[in-house]
Amino acid sequence: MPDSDAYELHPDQTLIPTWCADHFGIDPAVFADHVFWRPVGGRLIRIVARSCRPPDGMGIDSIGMQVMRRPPPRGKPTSVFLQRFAGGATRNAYRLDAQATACFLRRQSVPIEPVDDKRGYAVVSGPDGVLGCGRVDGDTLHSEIPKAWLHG
Amino acid sequence: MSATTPVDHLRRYAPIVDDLEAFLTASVTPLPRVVWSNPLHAPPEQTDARIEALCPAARPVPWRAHSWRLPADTPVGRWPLHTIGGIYGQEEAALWAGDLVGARPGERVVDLCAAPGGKTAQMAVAMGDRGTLMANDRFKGRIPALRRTLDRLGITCAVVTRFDGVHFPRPEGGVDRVLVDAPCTCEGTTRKTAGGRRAAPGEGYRLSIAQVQRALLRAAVRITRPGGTIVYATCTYAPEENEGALDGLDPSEVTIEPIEPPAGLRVSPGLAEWNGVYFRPDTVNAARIWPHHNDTGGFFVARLRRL
Repeated sequence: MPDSDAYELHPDQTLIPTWCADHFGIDPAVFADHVFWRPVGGRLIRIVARSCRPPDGMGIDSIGMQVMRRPPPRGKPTSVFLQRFAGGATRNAYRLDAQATACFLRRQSVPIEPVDDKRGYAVVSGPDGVLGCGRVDGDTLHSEIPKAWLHG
Repeated sequence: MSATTPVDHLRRYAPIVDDLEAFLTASVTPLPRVVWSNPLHAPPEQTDARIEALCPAARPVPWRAHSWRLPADTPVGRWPLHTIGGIYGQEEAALWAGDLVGARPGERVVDLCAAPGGKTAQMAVAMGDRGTLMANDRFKGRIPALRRTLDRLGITCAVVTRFDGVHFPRPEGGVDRVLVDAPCTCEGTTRKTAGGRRAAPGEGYRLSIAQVQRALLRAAVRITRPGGTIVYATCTYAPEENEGALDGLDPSEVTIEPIEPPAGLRVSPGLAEWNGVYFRPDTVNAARIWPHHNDTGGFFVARLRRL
């Protein structure tokens, strides 16, 4: 189990808010109560409540919520991160009806009319809120939700 | 009810339950599903309306806001609202334990036996996702379920740790609150299984788990700051694992506080004596939830104040 000292504040606290603003039109103020951590020297990025203070030297398994396994522009945002923070997305954002939502949650692709970028990651919402991460490839929206979420 | 039912072993509680037959009958009746609205996802009133639309048979839990009872066969786990963290399904009786911790924004809180994370999530929500919530579980195999709960509900104030709870390190200055949702013989969960078919706990296991429970409680006392709160909870009826575990604590270090159940939740006071063994006097301040009183599972809970 890594030590809490094995994690550090990410040296660029504006990296994720800037990327989210550019790519999804998310207001950076959404992240005002949060900071970004990473394993010391690592690429993985996690978002943590600003007031969260793990005790020094304590062995920890993980902290906060994973944002990306590697930084933007190549990194893919996790679906749980988008569910919590991308409700106000205005770019590369798609809203599906109930039928398409069911397909998306089965990791099936959905036909779309691209609204912004022709390729890249998208915030995908359904009737109850943000479902997670999608990937636009021309006129197809691929589901990028974790396999572990697949409904039996 | 005949003497050959799957819950026959629960007859040992005849001396302390008000209506043995009602208790045994309830213990083999399927448990209603209970879900609560996650305010980190959306305003709870909005989610409440969605639950009512998805399940017209849903009825509010009478003693807790934004919590709903659904028919036992409701496929909650298949609702997109569940997948995206709008709701969390939890046993109704267990909800009170999470509430009793009274976690507040900005505090330092420990859940010693956290997986799968339902009460951890309750505390994170009570904290407004602000502060430091240490979600600990010693079993590596249970950590993914814990992480999944925290992620799905959008919680960012949690630090997941994997210590043996008995040896959880004391942060400098101690912590404000600790929940000990202790491993137990799970006698109160018979309603989760078909017809109550859960193996009766052996006496040897009961005695060994009682030692673990006492050790976990001593650890909780050790890491809590003076004036801090400890909540002890189990999903079993056994006095050996409940009042007996509390009885092992030093009265000069911790006191068991009286707790007032919310209106609409019926509880029974803790015991002063079981099978000729007398406990410390303040164990009567604990509370036991019987399944036939509220149509829930069985539960035991006590709130302690660190002196």
